[in-house]
Amino acid sequence: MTFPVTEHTVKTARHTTGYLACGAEKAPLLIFCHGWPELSLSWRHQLPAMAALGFRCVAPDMRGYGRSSTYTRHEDFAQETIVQDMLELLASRGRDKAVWIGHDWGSSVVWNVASHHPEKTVGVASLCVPYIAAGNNVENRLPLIDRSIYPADLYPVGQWDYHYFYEENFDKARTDFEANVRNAVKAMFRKGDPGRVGKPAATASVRKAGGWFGGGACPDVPRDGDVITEQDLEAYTAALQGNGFFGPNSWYMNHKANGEYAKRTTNGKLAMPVLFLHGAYDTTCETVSSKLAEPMRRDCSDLTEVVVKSGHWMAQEQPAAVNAALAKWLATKLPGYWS
Amino acid sequence: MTFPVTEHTLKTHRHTTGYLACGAEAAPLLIFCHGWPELSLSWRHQLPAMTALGFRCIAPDMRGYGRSSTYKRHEDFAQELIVEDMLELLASLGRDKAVWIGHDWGSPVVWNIASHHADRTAGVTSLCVPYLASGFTLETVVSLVDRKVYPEAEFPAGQWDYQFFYEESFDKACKGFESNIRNVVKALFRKGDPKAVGKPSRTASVRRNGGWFGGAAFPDVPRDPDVITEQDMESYTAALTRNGFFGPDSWYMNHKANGAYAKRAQNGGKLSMPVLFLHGAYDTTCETMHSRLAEPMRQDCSDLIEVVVNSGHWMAQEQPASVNAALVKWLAMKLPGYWKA
Repeated sequence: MTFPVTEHTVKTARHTTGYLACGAEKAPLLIFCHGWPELSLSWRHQLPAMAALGFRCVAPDMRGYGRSSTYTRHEDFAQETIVQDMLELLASRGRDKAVWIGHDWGSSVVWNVASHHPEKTVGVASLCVPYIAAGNNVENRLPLIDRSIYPADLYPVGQWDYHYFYEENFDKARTDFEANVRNAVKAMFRKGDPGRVGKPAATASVRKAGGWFGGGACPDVPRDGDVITEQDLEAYTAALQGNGFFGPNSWYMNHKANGEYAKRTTNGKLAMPVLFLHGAYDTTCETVSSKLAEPMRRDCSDLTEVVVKSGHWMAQEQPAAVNAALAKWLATKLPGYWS
Repeated sequence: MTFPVTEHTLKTHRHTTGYLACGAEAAPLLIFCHGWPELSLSWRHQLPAMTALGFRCIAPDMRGYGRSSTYKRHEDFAQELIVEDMLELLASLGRDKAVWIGHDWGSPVVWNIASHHADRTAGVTSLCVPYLASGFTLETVVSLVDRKVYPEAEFPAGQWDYQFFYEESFDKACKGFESNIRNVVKALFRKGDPKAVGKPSRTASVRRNGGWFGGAAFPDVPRDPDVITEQDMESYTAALTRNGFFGPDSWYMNHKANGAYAKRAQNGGKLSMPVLFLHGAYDTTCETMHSRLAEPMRQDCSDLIEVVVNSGHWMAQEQPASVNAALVKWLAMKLPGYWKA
């Protein structure tokens, strides 16, 4: 009765999605959308935990990642197209709705599913990235920057500078990551540091530094055992080496299309139950002190917020806190769905 | 970050308790008390599931079972002593309260903790066995028998006849189990059968039949894999073979002492903490859906949630996701402050 995590593939005329599943097939559905530069594996602590509570958990490799198709044009990584991947995945399960749970770039996806397809959304939860009805494109984040940490003269685009590095130096960004993928994985998947809160994030100086790692390959730092095991490290490395960073980084190359897509929602307001998990030590997606979460508070009429003492890789760094927040929210807001 | 299930031992001057633990040491505490004739292992599906939500889970082998001490006198298995074992376990963990979760004979234990030691009880949950403020005594349960299923003339003790068999033929009962323990484990640990609902349970005819199986050894039936794996079966068999059934069966030999103990409960036996009761829809012995067995609980618990699980008696093992879900929903609704992130 302990459910195994199983691998599956859904192949349609337009796209192939590889996904992990766990739990009884007929149980109420939770779909988990990972972020950059991750895998379905990023939900490894959630899938069995939520399956043990009577849910069917599905975690796709998002477009460009793992066992899902990748493409050679930036525009193939626009949000609207990725949302379509998720709706195909939903339909392939014989379901017409789900609770959608996203993190990082996966948050943009689940917010877009909720705002464009509320009839397919029982509830929506996001880790780290709050809802912005106007679109989660970088321009809409600029007015929300915490100028006490990022003075406008020093940091005109605040912690979002790295977004512009992709736009201005796409090939360089890509080759820097690909120069040593294993080191990049070890350097990124690290726990949060309370001592960094209130100080500028490294992502604020990527263009000035000439790249993520000062313009070269990623340095070799020890793996953070509190976030990923040796096995996880190799799995991310193998997948990112297989597909390369063109796809993952192209998610950042569609701000204009994503902004226009956002304008096509009915009114941008979300009426279904919404859960947002703040990462207390996530200095890039900084939502506790800045105004980044303010638009979400205006636009979601049934919003629950929980602060998790975690850095950015919250589902991996603080799985029990994430699982607990999800379970409490489902129990109080969606008891009928969880039956 | 996935927590292992670890083995521990608590030795005091009066008793030794072996227990399983899972989860962060400082997390809010859930203590799981198993029933007859089981082990801490019976909570194997709950321990990792609740741990993954941020709880510290503890499941002792109850007195007489597994790696805990057993004794040679019936009176050493009275509820009051077993409650004392649990309070010692709680204290040894450096805690002053817990959410207590019990099943079968573990249910009277957690009910007694709640009624005698409300200050040690953040909340209490029982699978299958409802709260009886007057104690889980034969006198009490026989008065609540469903006489449509068990006409008084034919079944004076209703489904509780087997409990009288222990009192009247204790040695025979023990020998009946001990003659082939592996078969007993396979015969007992089976899923519920919806078709058996509304019909007399086998437990109603144990005295008339001269034992559980007419006084003969338990028949060799196939293991029910929906309830126990091969490995689980061997674990139960090994533990019960080592300790024997004297201890487990002696839990049934203290009705008088247990009734007297119940009279000493605080508050006239009323429970005011959050209480969760899980009905086993196909549990024909602990039949709580149609009989009046759950009625006294409804009168005596001021904050009671009831959930019906489509399961037989071994609910935590047969329907773990339903049990986990019911626990989690109740904790989220009733004890959000206790369940801190």
